[in-house]
Amino acid sequence: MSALGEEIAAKTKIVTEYLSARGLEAASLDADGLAEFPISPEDEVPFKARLELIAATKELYDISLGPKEGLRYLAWDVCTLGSIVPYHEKMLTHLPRA
Amino acid sequence: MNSLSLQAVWDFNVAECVPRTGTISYEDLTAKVEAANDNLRIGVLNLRRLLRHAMTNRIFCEPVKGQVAHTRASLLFLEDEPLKNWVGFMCNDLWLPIANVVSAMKKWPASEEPTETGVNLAYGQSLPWFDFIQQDQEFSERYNLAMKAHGGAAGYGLEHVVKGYPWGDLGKATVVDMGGNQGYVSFAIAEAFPSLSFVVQDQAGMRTPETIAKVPSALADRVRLTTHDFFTPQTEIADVYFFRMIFHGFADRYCVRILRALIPALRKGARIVINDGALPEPGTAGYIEERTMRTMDLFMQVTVNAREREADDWAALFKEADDRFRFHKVWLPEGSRMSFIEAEWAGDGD
Repeated sequence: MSALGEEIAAKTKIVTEYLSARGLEAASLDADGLAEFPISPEDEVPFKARLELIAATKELYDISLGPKEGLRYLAWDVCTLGSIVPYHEKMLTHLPRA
Repeated sequence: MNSLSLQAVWDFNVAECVPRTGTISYEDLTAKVEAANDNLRIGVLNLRRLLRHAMTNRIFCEPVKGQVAHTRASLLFLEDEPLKNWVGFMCNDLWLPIANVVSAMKKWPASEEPTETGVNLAYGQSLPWFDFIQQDQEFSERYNLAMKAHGGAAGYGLEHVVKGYPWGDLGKATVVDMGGNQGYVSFAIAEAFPSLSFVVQDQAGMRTPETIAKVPSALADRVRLTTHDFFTPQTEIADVYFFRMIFHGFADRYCVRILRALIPALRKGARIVINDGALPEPGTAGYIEERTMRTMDLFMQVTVNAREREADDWAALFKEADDRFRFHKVWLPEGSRMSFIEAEWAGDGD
């Protein structure tokens, strides 16, 4: 876990340093933030670092849960109705933007 | 797709066909899996793609190309019967109902009926959930075992019921355990609090001579098992009416009926104590707790058109039932996933 934590810190640094050197922002979960990272596949080092960051954070997440709890949640994630309903009900178009 | 690869692993009993130690080739594994499934033709390529997807969820691994081995997660299919049934229940039995909820919402707008759910639509039948699953022994056994996996998870233990409410402050009092099954919760509280007496009410189907004989002899003079349907007027006059895991199984209109049915027996100061889920205020709980509660809430919609409630919802429920209910509070005992909800009868009694 510690090794993963260090790997996550190192990959995060590569990505954030690349962005700040160019005055770019990271993707954000906020409504007014960027929907995707402004890193193209040609930006090889940060592009690869971000993919490795995704894998390492997921691995740390899975390990933190442990196999038993992980399997329990995986099975009931079939219950992710929340992502189906807004799509169907066209709710998303009715939410205020800010 | 997580559900597809997981359902395939569960349904085809793949875990049983992979050696506990060492590896097996896809070819040999496919032959074993097909043989274990009445020679159903699955095919190496189909099994391989399903397993390779499952592997992205840490279920099985491929340490050498073409060779399948167990992981800790896949071994749980062999070692943990409740968890295995939980997986089957979610991926097999609930998958279609979940996919039918939005259609059910359109067919029966804003329904509070347990017979107008995704389950009813998916399986083309008009029974409420529990009656439906009881028609199929395999289905209902899987459900019961799956709930054991859920109930066995941290935070749902009986110790939280015993320690989470100030039972000792009640002094010498009688508690009616409504829909209390065969009394196991009352037994636990009664053991810890010798001044309390319990009347465990449930439907006639739960009251066979054998179940009544199961009251531990040390508690026999303080715990009685009786028959009562909580939608009908209450006749036991008591200090506390206790409901554990009852209200989240019903839509508001039914919960209001349950509360109103108590009124004939309520005397001033009588308490209503509920041990049930309570949704956290948005954004106040940790990720896992919030997600668990939100998933439970949806789960209640899928199966019975019921729901989990947040503090304001609980207060509103009592208010709608009768103005003479005085709502006290909702609290989550340390380490518990289930909250206590308390109200008091401020009327004089009939």
